[in-house]
Amino acid sequence: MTDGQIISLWQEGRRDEAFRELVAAYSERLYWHVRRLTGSHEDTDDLLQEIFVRAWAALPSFRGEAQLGTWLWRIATNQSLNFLRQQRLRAALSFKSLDRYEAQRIDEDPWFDGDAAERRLMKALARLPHKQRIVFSLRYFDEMSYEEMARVLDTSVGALKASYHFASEIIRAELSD
Amino acid sequence: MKGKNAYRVPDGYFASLQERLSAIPQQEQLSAIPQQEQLSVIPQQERLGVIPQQEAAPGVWVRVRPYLALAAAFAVLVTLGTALLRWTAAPAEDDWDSFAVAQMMPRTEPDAFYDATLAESLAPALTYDDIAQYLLETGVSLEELENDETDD
Repeated sequence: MTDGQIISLWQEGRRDEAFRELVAAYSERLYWHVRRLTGSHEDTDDLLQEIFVRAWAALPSFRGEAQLGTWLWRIATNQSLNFLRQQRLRAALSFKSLDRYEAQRIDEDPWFDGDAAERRLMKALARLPHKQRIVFSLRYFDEMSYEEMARVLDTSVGALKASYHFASEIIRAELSD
Repeated sequence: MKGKNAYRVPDGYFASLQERLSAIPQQEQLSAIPQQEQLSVIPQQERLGVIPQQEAAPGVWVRVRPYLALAAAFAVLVTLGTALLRWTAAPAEDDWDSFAVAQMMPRTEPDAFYDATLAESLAPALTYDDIAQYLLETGVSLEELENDETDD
């Protein structure tokens, strides 16, 4: 079902049905996006619940200025950013550096199924500043266009291209060590 | 290499995820209902496995526990602060110095301490004989002294 059809269902008053279609259309894509940022299946599951609870609460005020998907991605990205900020605090409370804390989470993740190169890539991704991490993930893994990313992150295409360029350089340097 | 394949999920995860997320509207609607009214719909919701059992009211101990914890924390802080103050107080050597000085002071009678100001205030006033004697010794005549007084 397209975004337009979902909005039509909502406007017809078939709100529960519209929400179910929204979940069906976006839950799996959002899961992978959030998973690459949190590094944990359990945390991702919790975050998805929060994201869709917020989406349900905010749907009545959705005016269609942005596409439904863009709007939902924005909610997911903001919630992920909040999680990453809290991660920094958790690392401090465990008396570990943030790098070591996140690397340990990747090493201990029972649901990590990649090879050694992929593990190094995910660790390098975890060492990026939060916003660069999101830009790199959206561009490299989700293959989102810069224009769509600019709408999701509410920033310019030029800034995103620069951010992606720097993130790529950092990751390339990490992987070549 | 796209990292999507770097992770896996439990079997049937996405199907159960969609089911749980799709139940959000019912959960949110139910949380908006006052608690008394929720009791009337519990049987149906329990069949759907949406609402957990109503919890019993907390006992006295549970309600008082936070205040006791606060009081205990305050007592610990005061104890630590007092201990720290005593630990950082002036060292005992000063007391030994004052003892050493005390040993160097001669034994004296308290009455022997002379207070000059007190002595002056207690001294008797000068008499005419004292003044005359002074004038004779210095060579000033009484007439010269009286003339000085009238000129003023």
